[in-house]
Amino acid sequence: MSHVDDGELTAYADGAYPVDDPVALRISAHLSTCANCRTRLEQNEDLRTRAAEILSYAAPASLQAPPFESLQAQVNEQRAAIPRAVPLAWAATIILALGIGWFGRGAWQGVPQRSSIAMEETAPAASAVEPPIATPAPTSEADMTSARPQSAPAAKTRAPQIAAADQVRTDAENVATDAAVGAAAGRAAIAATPPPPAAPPPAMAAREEQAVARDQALKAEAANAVGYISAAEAERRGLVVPRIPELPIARIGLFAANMVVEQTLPDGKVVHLTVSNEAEVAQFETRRAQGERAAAPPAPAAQASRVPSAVARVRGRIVNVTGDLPVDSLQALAAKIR
Amino acid sequence: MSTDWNSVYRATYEDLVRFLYRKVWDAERAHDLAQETFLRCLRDRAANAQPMGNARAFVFTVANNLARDEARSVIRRKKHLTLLKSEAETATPPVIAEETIEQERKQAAVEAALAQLSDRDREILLLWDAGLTYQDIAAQTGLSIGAIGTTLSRARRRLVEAFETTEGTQNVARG
Repeated sequence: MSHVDDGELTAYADGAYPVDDPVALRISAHLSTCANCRTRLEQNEDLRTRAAEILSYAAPASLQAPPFESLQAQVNEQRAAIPRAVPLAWAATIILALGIGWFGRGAWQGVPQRSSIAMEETAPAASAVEPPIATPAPTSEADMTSARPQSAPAAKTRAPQIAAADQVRTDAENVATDAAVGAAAGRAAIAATPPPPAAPPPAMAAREEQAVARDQALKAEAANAVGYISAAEAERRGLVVPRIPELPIARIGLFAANMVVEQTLPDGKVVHLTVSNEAEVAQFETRRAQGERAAAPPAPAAQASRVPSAVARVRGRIVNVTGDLPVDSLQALAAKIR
Repeated sequence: MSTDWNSVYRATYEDLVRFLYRKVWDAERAHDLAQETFLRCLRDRAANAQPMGNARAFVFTVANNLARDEARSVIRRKKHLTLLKSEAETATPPVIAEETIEQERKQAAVEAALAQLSDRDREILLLWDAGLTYQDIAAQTGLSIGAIGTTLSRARRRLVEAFETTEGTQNVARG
């Protein structure tokens, strides 16, 4: 005769099985015919009683519970304090998480240079006909077509940096990207042949102003977010950071769709190098392959309202240079980016 | 129907404090942890949606996690045992009643006996003594009913043997 398993007997003794449970019924039936198991059951119950008695020696002197209302009051106070902090903390967390995740993709380990694109640093202006570059993050998709009056519906917003860059692009070249700013000949060509700019539609100007505001708001928010690292930290992480070699890096901002390198000029002014990610580059390539043409620069009157910027293309990445400087100064700096 | 935490609190608090006390061996800390347990339960929105039947198990799950972190403070534990030992070795303080000393001695013996159990055996034994059902324990530990029974049988046996061995040694020492 097989006896009841010790674990099942203990569970049975402790009332773990419902009365009509098959295991309980089986054990009950067995106990009715097995004196040995009945003895074991009694020993089991005695052991349980003794163990409970021993454990009862280990108890604090007082088991008095504080009023429940005091607990509830603490919880209510904590909940009242949370709502204000959550949105800002949440926004900062999202920015940080996206930035870290993006860099975790190894996006900054050196994108292979795209041979299909001439290195604009040395190419003469006439050779690099590229559509405008979409500036990431601050805007909803920066429209590469929005600065080209003759192009398809300008339904999207264009980044102010792109719009500003168009100021220096010739109409004949239809160059949206000033990726060749490093080329002196290119700059001369661009400057020598100012195009007849077309006035942008009013809606586009408004969108661009909104984009500027969003960019500024994003920068302001990013400044409060935990998304900035030092140059030393970037080096430690193995990040490839485009920079103007002779200028010190103040800090590097890691954002969802781009990197912003802040470098300090000798006079204390700061230039921002906004470096686009692979997705933006891919988007750029697609549009270029589809033959999208750059728009003509805006009218002089409209140019004054634009944020001055210059664009460079470095190792497969698009770098937009902005700062409180004249455009030609920005172009000169952009040409030095490595 | 949301949980009536006031009722759960009143029905569970004493068992919870005993449970936590046997984890951290500090009365004040046990009360603090019990309070913290209920604070977490009240803050937990999901807990508030649980029916009453699961509230007790939820409370002890939270408490168990808190106690686990607390009990990892080995320094505190060792300090406590050292303190008890030094108190036992010194002359009886005139202001402490003999029954208090006896209580503390037994308590130290229980602590020492529990320390001889494996972590799993001790945890399940304390959960059972705190009033959790086999089903609650199974939900926390993932063990079957039969396995819980086996564990409890073993834990109880070792607790009793260890305690009575310590008591027997001390009785002999006292003469």
